[in-house]
Amino acid sequence: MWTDLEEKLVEWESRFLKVNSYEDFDLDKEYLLREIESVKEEKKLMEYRLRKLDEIIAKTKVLIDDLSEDLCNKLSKGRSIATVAEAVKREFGNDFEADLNEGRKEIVKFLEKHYSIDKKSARQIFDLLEEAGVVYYELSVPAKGKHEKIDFVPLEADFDFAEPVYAFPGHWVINA
Amino acid sequence: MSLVTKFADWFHKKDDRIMELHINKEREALKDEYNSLMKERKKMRDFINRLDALIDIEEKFLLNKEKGE
Repeated sequence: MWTDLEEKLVEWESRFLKVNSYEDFDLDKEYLLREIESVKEEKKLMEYRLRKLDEIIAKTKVLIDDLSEDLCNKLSKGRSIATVAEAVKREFGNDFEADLNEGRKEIVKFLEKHYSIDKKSARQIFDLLEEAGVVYYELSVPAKGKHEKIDFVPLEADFDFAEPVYAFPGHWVINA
Repeated sequence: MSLVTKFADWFHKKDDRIMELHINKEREALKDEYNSLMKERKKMRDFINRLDALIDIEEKFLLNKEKGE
């Protein structure tokens, strides 16, 4: 479908370019006016298609949310994503000062204990919370950080220094 | 097959597919479909922008010619 659309557009672009280079303008004015009308018609059709595409996108999002709620319900023994998020917020607050991996581990551990579920289910619930945007790790990139290269040290599996160095500080946000 | 028919066909197939994935509770596949629809949306927006640019250039060209520039 996109190949057809692309071909149509390229054809218009090259036809218009040809007409624009003609000296005898009067001869081509009517033709150009007709062509502009056809492009406008095509644009209207594309706008209609885009609007319809937005409908199918919105519907898909609702269906995903629906399945996410079902999954959360199943994993947490009957709780909704909002309920679980509230419990996480009560425990850790809005801003949870913790490293990316440690923070995740702590929240998963909390979910495991709080709902008496296995670790795998707790991890899946955590992923659902992240996908829903209620729990996320936020990095602060300072203004000068935009123009500096980020250093990456290729660590080996048995690296022996205590703390790897990260360019930007971060924290967990719980937005229930 | 005309472009109009092709799009209608594509649209109906997509709609059937997302409903089928929902019924079968295939959340990950539904997420993939969502991402692919977002990519289609971007392509469509780009296409509209190119049509807009074409209209703008030609209308300006006509106007300038009429003014004798």
